Amino acid sequence: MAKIDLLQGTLDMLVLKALSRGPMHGYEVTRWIQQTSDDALQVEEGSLYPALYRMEKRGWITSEEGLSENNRRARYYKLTRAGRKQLETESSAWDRLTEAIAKVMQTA
Amino acid sequence: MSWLKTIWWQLSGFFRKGKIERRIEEEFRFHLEMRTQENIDRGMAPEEARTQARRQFGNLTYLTEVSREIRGGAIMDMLWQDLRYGVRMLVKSPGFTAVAVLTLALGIGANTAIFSVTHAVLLRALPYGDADRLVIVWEKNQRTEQNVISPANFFNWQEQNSVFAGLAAFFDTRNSLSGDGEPEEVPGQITTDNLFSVLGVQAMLGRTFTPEDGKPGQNNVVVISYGLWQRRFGGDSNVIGRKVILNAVEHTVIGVLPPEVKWHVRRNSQTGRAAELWKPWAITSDLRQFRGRFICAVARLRDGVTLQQARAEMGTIAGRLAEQYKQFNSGYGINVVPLRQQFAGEIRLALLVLAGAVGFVLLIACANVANLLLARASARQKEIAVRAALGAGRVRILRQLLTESLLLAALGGVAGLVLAWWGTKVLVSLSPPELGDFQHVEISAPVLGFTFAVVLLTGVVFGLVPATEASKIRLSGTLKETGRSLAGNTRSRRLGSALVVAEIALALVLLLGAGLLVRSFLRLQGVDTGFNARNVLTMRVALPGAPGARYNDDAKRINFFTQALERMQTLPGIEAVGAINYTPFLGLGTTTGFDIEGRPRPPTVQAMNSTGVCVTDQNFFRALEIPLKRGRLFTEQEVREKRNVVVINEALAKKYFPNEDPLGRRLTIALSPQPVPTEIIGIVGDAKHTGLDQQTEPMSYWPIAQGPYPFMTFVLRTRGEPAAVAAAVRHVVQTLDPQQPIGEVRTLSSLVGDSIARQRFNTLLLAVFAVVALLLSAVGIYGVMSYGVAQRTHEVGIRTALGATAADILRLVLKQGMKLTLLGVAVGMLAAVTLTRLLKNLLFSVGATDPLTFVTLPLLLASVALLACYLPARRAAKVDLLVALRYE
Repeated sequence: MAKIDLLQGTLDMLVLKALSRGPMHGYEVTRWIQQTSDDALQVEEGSLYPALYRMEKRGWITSEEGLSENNRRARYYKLTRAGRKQLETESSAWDRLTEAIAKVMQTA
Repeated sequence: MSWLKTIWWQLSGFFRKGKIERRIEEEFRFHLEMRTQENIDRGMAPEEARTQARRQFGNLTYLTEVSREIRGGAIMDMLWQDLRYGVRMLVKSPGFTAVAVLTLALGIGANTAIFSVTHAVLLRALPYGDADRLVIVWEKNQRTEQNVISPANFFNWQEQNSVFAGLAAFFDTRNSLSGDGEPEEVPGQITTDNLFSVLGVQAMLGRTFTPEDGKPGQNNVVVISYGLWQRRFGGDSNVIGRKVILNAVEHTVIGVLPPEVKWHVRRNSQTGRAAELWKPWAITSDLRQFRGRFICAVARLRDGVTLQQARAEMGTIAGRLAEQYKQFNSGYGINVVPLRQQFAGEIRLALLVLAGAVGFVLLIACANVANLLLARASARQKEIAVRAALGAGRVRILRQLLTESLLLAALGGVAGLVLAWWGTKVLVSLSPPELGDFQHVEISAPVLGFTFAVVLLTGVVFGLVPATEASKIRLSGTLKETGRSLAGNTRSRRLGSALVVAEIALALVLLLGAGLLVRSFLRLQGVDTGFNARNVLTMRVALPGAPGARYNDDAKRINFFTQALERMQTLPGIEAVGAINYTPFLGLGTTTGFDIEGRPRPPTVQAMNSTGVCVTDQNFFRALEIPLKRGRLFTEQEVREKRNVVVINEALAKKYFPNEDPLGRRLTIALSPQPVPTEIIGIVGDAKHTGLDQQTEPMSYWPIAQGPYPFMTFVLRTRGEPAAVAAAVRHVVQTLDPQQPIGEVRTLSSLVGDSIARQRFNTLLLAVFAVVALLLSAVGIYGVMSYGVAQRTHEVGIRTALGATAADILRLVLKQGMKLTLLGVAVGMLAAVTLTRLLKNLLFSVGATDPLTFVTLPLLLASVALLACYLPARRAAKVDLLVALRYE
């Protein structure tokens, strides 16, 4: 399967989606996105972090220090109420967009 | 509020920079290690696993940079960097920095100094409660908009108006204060008991007046100023209740005013000085007689009443009173003037003109620095191109250059403040007396705020154009350029030329304005006073003349003055001694109507004959060297005893006796209580009495016996330095009456000089600013021409190689410079024709477009500009051919 480059806003949405499952650190977010998309979505891994910082600044997520599975200090990100709301808006917008594009593409 | 949050993030990010960087670094490292570990788990060799992890992560430096910018602190960081870089650049070229800072310091300093005066006069709150609601109420007639008022009218206004919450009257008095310590003459005011409540002023100690204090017989109480309290009573806190001898009568001190209150209306002031004590006016029924005008009035507008409404209603009242009391009031109206306008008076216009002038100076300074920056920017093109090549965006470069110009402006601002601090002192020492009415002129917090705003504005104004120009770089072109190519600089040179044209135009407007004022001032100074002011000492003495005081009858006054005159005559070093009631050139005088015997009285007040009135002795004319034209002067006897004789000036003779001999004719003035026809015995030359810019009015001189004023000014013509006899003259008065204080002792020439202090102030300052503007614009054109010549060295070389002589080159450069100059002069002349009209009210017998000024000053400016072009042109002409051709 070919790999797809991610648009900026889409990355935000995916990160929010990942965090909606519970607090995660950055590497976990990367892994989750890659695994759930069967490696189809290729994130340049480092670009995740500016996205995280930006969303933290906007108040969609918060972060705190925690211990990782292998007992190392890591920074865990958690969705805020605003972030949850943002996820809802973005996913419904996404649904409408894909639906519309699908319609267009189906007309032969 | 999102910008507030952004600022917070930036600031907190800047100060927590280390922490943020550490966090980013830790997260990145953690990520990379996890990925490496996973790669190893998948079977990669450790080295390969690490490389792979890095590759997948992306550009580490870039991501760190971006993250930091988001996490905050980056902008502040950049600013800090820009600032340090800017400082380095300025230190590296100390010559440029010094010239730019000095130029800006001149502009900013001049603006700050003038603003500190403008602020004190036009903006700062007056020390009265809600001072914007206070107005001065005058009577007005054909001759003047601001005439003193009659008590009878005042009481009618008080009763009939509905626009004022309070209306108070006051008039100046000279008082002799004795009791404990030396007798002293103290300026004071007699006021209605409501003055302080109308002004909204509370006593600092004790109380102000109550209606009880205004009752006849109970008014022997005084409120004193802070200054008098400090000076005479040593700031004694037990001063309330103290008895003092005021004009030979015992009074009780009941209150002390706060230090900032200096209640004094200069116009029509009888003392010319701020009052230091106040006494309630005992209102007696005879004050309601329609006779004599001598008081002033201040009122507080009732809540909700506008100035226009007040003027309208007072106009109606004036019309009614003129109808009711035709004989006294016809031709008189009422004029309501806001207090601030009254105080600022004629200095307001001067200040606005000066503020405009310093604004021009600042603009010229900005243009000069902008020019310097433009020239420097092209020298720095390579540096900027290198920075751009290394990844600095246009905004970043623009920001860097603007930071530099703001830094320059800030340095200029600091230097300017030092200049202004000194300049303000000079301004105050030169200032006309009007300024004394305002609180201390100083560099206060609002003035500092103004300077700060000016610094910001100038930094952007002079920095923006060169910075935008410089940041427009075409990378490849500039890096390849050897400096020989001129194409990239044509635009900035054209900009530089435009700036020079603007500078010359601005400087010319200032020069023309200053030139007009200088011409006007010279005319004013050259006015023939009609007397000789050299070597004349004046000394004013005001006798306590109130009922019950030592000099309460005419004989006592006449006796005192004639005795004093006799004794002064015998002093060594004195050529002549005379006396007159009004000190010349203090702006005071009395004008009154008169009848000529055998002629019908004109039907209306406006058409009445009118004359100034002075009371003198027989020697006054000799002491001042006012020539006797015809007839004779008073005899000694006529000065001592009432003999009904009068001396008139030529203006009166010409105006009222054009075709007949006035000698022997008799006239009657309306001033004295029992008017008596009085014979004209002599005609003297016209002399100015109130001011140099006053028209020569008809004047009549009356011997002391016919109008024994309680105050007189001695005028002494001395053989040597007038001040040398002052002590001896004082001694004469003190031996005659040890209780008697002496008023001001001044030389007549200093009085004449002071009377044009305001004009001197305007003229001197505008001239100084114009010269500064001239010099700055000369520097400006010199800079642009030098830069242009340097840029064209190679071209000059080619021309020389092709056979151009040094003279050709000289002509070429001069032509270019003169083109700019003439364009600037043309623009400046056009602007000046409109702008100098604003000066019209400041000019004396010079038109606002005086041809002489409008010819000579542009020529002067053009010659200075020519010189400024000549130096670089000569340099260009002298350039060695080989050097020029090799020049890069």
